[in-house]
Parts: sequence; C-alpha cells; structure tokens
Amino acid sequence: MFSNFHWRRLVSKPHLNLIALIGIIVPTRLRADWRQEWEAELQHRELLLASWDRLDFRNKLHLMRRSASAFWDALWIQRQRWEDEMFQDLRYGSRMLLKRPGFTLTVIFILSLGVGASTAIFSAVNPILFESLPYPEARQMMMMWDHGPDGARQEVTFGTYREISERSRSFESLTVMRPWQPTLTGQAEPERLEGQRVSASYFDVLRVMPTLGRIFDPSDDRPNGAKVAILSDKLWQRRFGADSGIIGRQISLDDDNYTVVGVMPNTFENVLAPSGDVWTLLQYDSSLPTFESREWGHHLRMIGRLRSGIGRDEVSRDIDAIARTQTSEFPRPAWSALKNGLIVNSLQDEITRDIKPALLAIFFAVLLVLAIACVNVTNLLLARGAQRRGEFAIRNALGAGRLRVVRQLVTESLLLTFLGGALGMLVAEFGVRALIALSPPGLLRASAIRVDAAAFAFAIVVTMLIGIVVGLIPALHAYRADLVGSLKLTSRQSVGGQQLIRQALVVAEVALALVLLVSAGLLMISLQRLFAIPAGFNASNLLTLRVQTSRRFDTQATQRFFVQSLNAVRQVPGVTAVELTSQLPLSGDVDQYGVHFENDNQKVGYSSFRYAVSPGYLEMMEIPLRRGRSLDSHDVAAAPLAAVISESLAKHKWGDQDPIGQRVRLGPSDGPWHTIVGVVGDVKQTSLAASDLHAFYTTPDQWRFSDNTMSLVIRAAGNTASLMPAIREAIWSVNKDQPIVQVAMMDDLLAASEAERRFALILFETFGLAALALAGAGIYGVISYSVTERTREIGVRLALGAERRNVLSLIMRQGLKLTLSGIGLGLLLAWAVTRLLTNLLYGVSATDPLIFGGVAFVLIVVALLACYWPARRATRIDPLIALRQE
Amino acid sequence: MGKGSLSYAATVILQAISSGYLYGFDIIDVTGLPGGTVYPALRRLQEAGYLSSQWEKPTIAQDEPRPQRKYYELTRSGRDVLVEAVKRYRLLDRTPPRKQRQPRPSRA
Repeated sequence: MFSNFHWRRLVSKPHLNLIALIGIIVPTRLRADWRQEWEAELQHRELLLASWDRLDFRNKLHLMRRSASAFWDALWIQRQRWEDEMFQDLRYGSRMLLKRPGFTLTVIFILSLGVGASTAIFSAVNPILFESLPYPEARQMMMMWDHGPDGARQEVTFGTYREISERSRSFESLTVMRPWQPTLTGQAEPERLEGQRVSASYFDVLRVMPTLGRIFDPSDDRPNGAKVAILSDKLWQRRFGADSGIIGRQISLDDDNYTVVGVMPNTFENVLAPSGDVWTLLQYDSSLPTFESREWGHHLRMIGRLRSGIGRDEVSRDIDAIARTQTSEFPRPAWSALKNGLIVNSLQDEITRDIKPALLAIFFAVLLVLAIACVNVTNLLLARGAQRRGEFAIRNALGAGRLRVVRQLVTESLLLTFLGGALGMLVAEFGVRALIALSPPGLLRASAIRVDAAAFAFAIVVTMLIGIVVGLIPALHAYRADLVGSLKLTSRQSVGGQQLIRQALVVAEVALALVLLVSAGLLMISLQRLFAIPAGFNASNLLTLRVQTSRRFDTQATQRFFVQSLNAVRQVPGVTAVELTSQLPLSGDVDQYGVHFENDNQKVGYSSFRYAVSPGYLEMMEIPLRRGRSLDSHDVAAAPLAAVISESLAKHKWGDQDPIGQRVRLGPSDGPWHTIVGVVGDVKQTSLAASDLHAFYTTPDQWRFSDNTMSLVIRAAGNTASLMPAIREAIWSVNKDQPIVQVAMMDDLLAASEAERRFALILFETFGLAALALAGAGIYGVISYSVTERTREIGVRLALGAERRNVLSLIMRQGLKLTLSGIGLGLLLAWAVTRLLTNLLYGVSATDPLIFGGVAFVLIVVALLACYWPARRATRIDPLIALRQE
Repeated sequence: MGKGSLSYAATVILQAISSGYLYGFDIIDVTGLPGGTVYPALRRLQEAGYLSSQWEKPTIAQDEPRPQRKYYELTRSGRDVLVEAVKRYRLLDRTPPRKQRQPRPSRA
C-alpha cells in the first residue's frame, strides 16, 4: 500500500505543498523537523479519510484548512528567529550603522531624495503614460480624426459620424462631442460652466453610469428635442447643495430651461473634458438636409468603443473600405475628407500625444538622478567597506565564512536602503504636492496624481533593487579581497582595485550629471528664446476680461451691450484705454477662418485668425501699422467693408507688393468682398512658438455674425489689477446678468501659454542641481579618501623636498583626470540622448555646442572646488606625523 | 510562560500526554483542539521544560507502514505542573477527554 512511489505522490498534493510553502518562514535550522511533523500530521489525517484523489470537495477543504493552521505554528516559531544568523546580521548591522551616524544619515538622506523624487515623478506619469484610462475595458476605446489638408488631424463632421456609425460593423458604440460653455443663471451670480454637447451614446461609450437619474435618451437627440442636462458631482455639490431632488428639476443654461436627468458619480474622471461640469445633447439633424448646414462642419471629436475581439488594424481596414466605397444612401460633399479614410488611434494614445514626450523626458531625468544617487551611495559604502577591512579579516580569522561577510554587508545596505526608502515615501508625498502645485493648468488626469499602490510598489521595487545592487558591489569586493593580507594592514593603506572601482563610479556619476545638466540647459535656453520672441503687441500692464453675453440677445442687443460696457469702463477713474476684441492673443482662443483672394482659384482659403475689434484696438495694443490705415470709427455696418490683414498673410500672397485695395472674402467662399485697407504686424495667437501668423481684423459692425463672447483689454495708470472691482461694477451696471468668464493680466496669460515647457524646465533644473551637488560630493569623497590613503606617500614626498604647490597640483590633477573622463563620456551620452528632447526645445539645437561646453565648464569648476579642500589638506600633512603613523 | 499559569489548552494537552496519547495527531484527535493550537502549545511546553520529544525510529514507521511519529513525554516538572493545573481546572477530572467525531471518507 505504501510503496515509495505512493509517498512521493503524497508530497505532490496541495495540502502538503502548502506546508512546504509555509515552511519558508520557519527558521532554517528548525525547518526540517517542523515540516516532518506537520506532514506526518496531514498524512495521518488523509489516511483516516481516503487518499486525496478520492476525497470530496468538503473533505479536501477540511484538509487544506488543517494545513493552513500550520501557519500559526510557523508564526509562533518566528520568536526563535532572533537566534537566526539573519537577525544577528541585522542587529550587528544596526549597531554598526548607529556607530557612524554621519555616514548613516548621509546615505539615508541621499537615498530618500533619490527614491522620493523618482516615486513622486512616477506617481505623476503613471496615470498618464502607463495606467489605462479610468473606464471599463479602456483599451477598446478609439479616437478618430479626418485627414486635414496638410496631413494633420482634423475634427470630423457629423455627416462622417453618421456614415461610420451606420456602415461600420467594428464598433459597439460611437459618439461625437464638442465643447459647450453655457452660462448658468439662477439665484447665485451668473457663472460660465465648462461642458460638452454630446451625442446620446456618449456615456455608453465611456461605460459610466450616473449615481442619480439616467443617461441620455437617444430619442431626445434630434433638432428641437427635449432640453436635458447631466451634471457632474462637483457642480451638483457646489451649486445645488447635493440635493437628490434635483432630478427632473429645471435649471437655466444660456437662458434656456434644461431638465436635469442625471448626476455623475464623484469618481467619474472625464479625460475628454477634464473640467467638464455639464453635458447636454448635440441635437444635430441626422437626416443631413443640406451640405451647407452645421452637420458638415469639421468641429466634432469622435470616439468609439470597439466590439470585443476587434483590434485597431481590423477597424482601420473596415473604415478604409467604407471610405473608398461611397453609397447613394450617404452622400458626401465635395470637400468631405472621408474619402481619404480616417486616422484611428487608441484614445489613450490620442489624449496623451502632446504631453507624452515631456513626461517621458522628465521620468528619464529623475531616473538619472536616482542612478547618480545610487552611484554616490555605492561609493560611500565602498569607502566604508575599505575602512572595515580589518574587522572583516578578524571575523574571517575567527571562523566566519566569506559568504557570511558578504551577507553582513548586503544586510547592512538593505537596512540602509529601506530606511532611505521609508523616508523617501515621505519625500514622495511632499514631492507630489509640489508637482500638483507646479503642474501646468489642465494637466491630464491631474486628479489621479497621488502616491497610490502602484507608486508604493514602484518605490519598494526601486528600493530593493538599489539595496541589492548598491550592497553587492562592495560586498563582492570584500569577498574577493585578500582578507589575510588585510589583517596585516591597517585601514589606512591602499588597495588598488577598490580605488579603481570608486574612480569608475565617479566618472559615471559625472557623465550622468552632465547629461542632466545639458538637458536642463537646453530647456532653459529654449524658454529664454521663447520669451525673447516679441508677442507682436505690448503685453505689459494689460488687464483682460472676457465677457459672455446671454444667448437670448440678438445681434443688436449684443452689440449694444458691448458698446455700453466699453463706455462704462472708460468712465472708471484711472482707466486710460479700453478696447474690445473677439479673440485674445495667447489666451487659448483659436478662431480661424479661410481667406479667399480675388482672382485666385484656390478652393480652400488661407487659414487665418479672425479678430473682430473695436476701432482703436490695434493702436491700443501697439500692434504696429505697416501699410495703409488702421480700422477707425468710420468702418460701420453701412460703410464699405474694410479689413486689415497681418504682415505674414500679406507677404504670403503678394510678397513685397502692396496689397492695399485688393479684395478678399473672409470665411465662406460665397461671402461679401472686403477691401484690404491696411497691413499690421504679426501677433502670436496660440503660443510664442507658433508659426501660424495669418490674421485679419474687421470691426464688429462689419463682421457678418455678432460675437456673444468678447474680451475687453484695459490699460490704466498705475496698477491695473487694483481697478478690477470698479471695472466689474461698471460692466454689471450695464446688465448684471452677463458673466465675466475670465479675468487675467496679459503677462500671466503669456506665462501660462508656455506653462508646460516651464514645468519641464523647473523639474530639469531641480534634477540638474541635485545631480551637480551629488557629482561634486562624489568627487570630493573619492579625492578626500585618496588623500587619506596616500598620507604616508605624501609625507614621504614632502620629507624628500616636494613643494606644497606640487602636492596640491598632484591631488588636483587626480581629480581633474576623473572629471575630464566623466565629461568625455557624458558628452557622448548627452549627444545621443538630448535629441529625445527635440519636441520641448525651441530655437536651439539638441546638440548646441555652447550649452555642451558651458555645462562641461561648470562641472570642471565644481570638480576643482570639490578637489581643493582635500588637496589643501594634503599640503598640510606634517611629514613627521605621517611617517610615524605606521 | 511562568510556572503555575498553564493555559486551559496546555493543561488539556499535558493531560492527554500523561494519559498516553503521545504524538501530535493523536493529541489533536483526543483533545479536539485544532492543530494550529496544539503544535505551538507543544513547542511552548517543551521550551518551558515540561515536555521532551523524540522522533521514533524510521524503521518502525516503515514497517507499519505509516508516517513517522514524534513522541512527546512529560518531564518531572511537567508532571508537577500538571497536578497543580488539574487542581485549578476541576473540570478536567472527567478524563479521558471524549473522542472526536471522525470525518468520514466520501462516497466517491
């Protein structure tokens, strides 16, 4: 019955495997006995029942429970672990670390900064770069774009959405959306909200359900359908006191009554509109009546959820096939881009496209800092190990094996790194707060940035890796070293090989620091160059106010309101000038129209920024007049239509010829002709780095639509910002229901337009400085140690008549040699690496020789400083004392 | 564990051993206590010097055949402390403890 074979089979059973597993935590010297007893116990149980294969589920569970109870036994035995060698190592290690508090604190400090900084950065980049989006099966979500005229991404039309959603078999659901900024009126003061107009399937695609009420009903998604709204949890809490009776109630948005049908959960994170607070239906006409209607405008973003099992390649093929075969059921206008197919990409990739390069660069940078910190700590441990050679030799002589000594060292370094890691978590916590404070506005998934489980796991893995790597190098060194020989030496004497490793590490450290500093330098120059670019107007001491009028206002009422506001603000004491514009430079406004020239067969107009401005705006903004005249008070609705164009547009069409008197159509190609009356300087609209500078200006009276959102630009004597309350009163004296949606000083808008670059720069500068300090400390450590080691040699030199000057240069040369090797290596590395930064750079080459040279120079200076103190100490060695030391 | 402060479970186990139930699973069966209690208690009692233990010769187990047993035995101080403890836990006079219901093999 109990053949050998049978016994072996017994061991392979799960309840016995569990014992083996639990046995791992039983101290080694007790383990065999412990296992045997428990295995016997369970085998006995099994014999009483039946052999494992014949047991029913309940009895199997019973046996498993019995084996699990071994865990308590094993836990109890932990007490005896204190006698284990591992704990001896730990206790001994802690004593050694406490004995040298300076060394211990330095190492812990360096490590905590390294681990803390990298964990903080990891927390920030993880939700954007690595985690999937916060929706079920987010991988199945795709975003689609039309191919624009120059190959760029272009928003899709409702017509395209209709055709794809009817004809494609790849999608479970599809939705389109566009931004919506309604004004909420009611008891409290009017407030402009951020929101979205979406097709009814929007929340189906996201697969998010409201906590209260329901999602949109497809039957409402038609022209003149019911006006319904879904609120964010934030808005519901803030404006409606979290009243659960809100469902079915009417709220006033843009002076229309909307019925609230749902409230989203507070966990709902919307990556498509991070600050979105309200959603309503798009209500486009799906019968697509004419090609002239809004249904054929490129202004919708389209996302879809793929059916399970369908990949990106399949959907691309599917859409290509649809694009190629036009059917009579779905007519397309001549300009429809669908015939070229669509750009299909995962939603995750699409929404992180812009920020990814910057985040990757920052993550890479922090890993460099971490690497430098590790190199530094390794160096410190090596030096420490060298001081303890005598100790190890004695332990060895007393019978401790070499492995035991290695284990002792690894235990100590693990202890150090875990202390560093624990403190690092604290650093990470603060780091994350600083990051959030510094982060550019509208940073994607900013709410997901925190030290979470993933970040914690990252920190632990990093800490353990550091502990092992950083500990192993000195430990293996101790292992190989000639311990018997060491017994005869004192700790002061040099051991060649070790010094070589330490020097190599310093070279690596300098090289890595150089890479970081070069990157920081390139970014700094980029930002400087950017801010040196003239914006095209005078931005200093300029207050801007964006005012949105009620949508109930007709054209006349809107214009009357703005003119009256303008006049009211002019009366505010202290205000020296105030003008109106439909779009404010560098504020995030993008309002572009096609411009068609007379006698030009161009089908697609030149895309140009459109500004409807009050007469006097150009002068007040100090946008220079190049030719002709500016807009003036004669350019009223009844007067001949006039336009002022930007220098860049004029050059593009006419070169150096005079465009005054030429005629253009602004917007649709069937619009009226405007006569060009003047040419003004270029203005940066989207960002200082922008190169799209085509623009035209008209007066609001001569523009075919009235803008219901306009910005007031205000100059005043003295501090303009302090006039804000009076200005607000002035506008509300005209009509108190019109919200001022944004108030900003132009300087701040300017800075904000480059916030992302600035964010990257601040981090790179911080990391660069940390790297510089660490590299300096590393050089100092190695040189200082080498001076201590060479005390006797230097003593002999001095005794034999060497001058102090010679000794100084001897030591300095040694340090400089290391630094130069590091710089050489670093330059090569940096040359290979900085091209990854290209997207973040402006006006500077990724291999700018000036930056490379400058950084190398800074490193040399730091290295010289770091060498100077030990070198000076060397010159002060008293030969008599030095020689007496042995 | 101080002298004279034997827990109830420990007393029951000592009692079982003194009644001739000498190895782990036998003690578990006779006392009805779970293994997660009995084994740590055995170790504690052994550490306190009330018990000594010994593996039986492997040949005996092979001849039977059955898993090898680790036999426990009361030491002199173990016997003393048991007498003390039994006085305190009067209930234990009703020894030997009842037999635990045996789990039955499945029909399968």
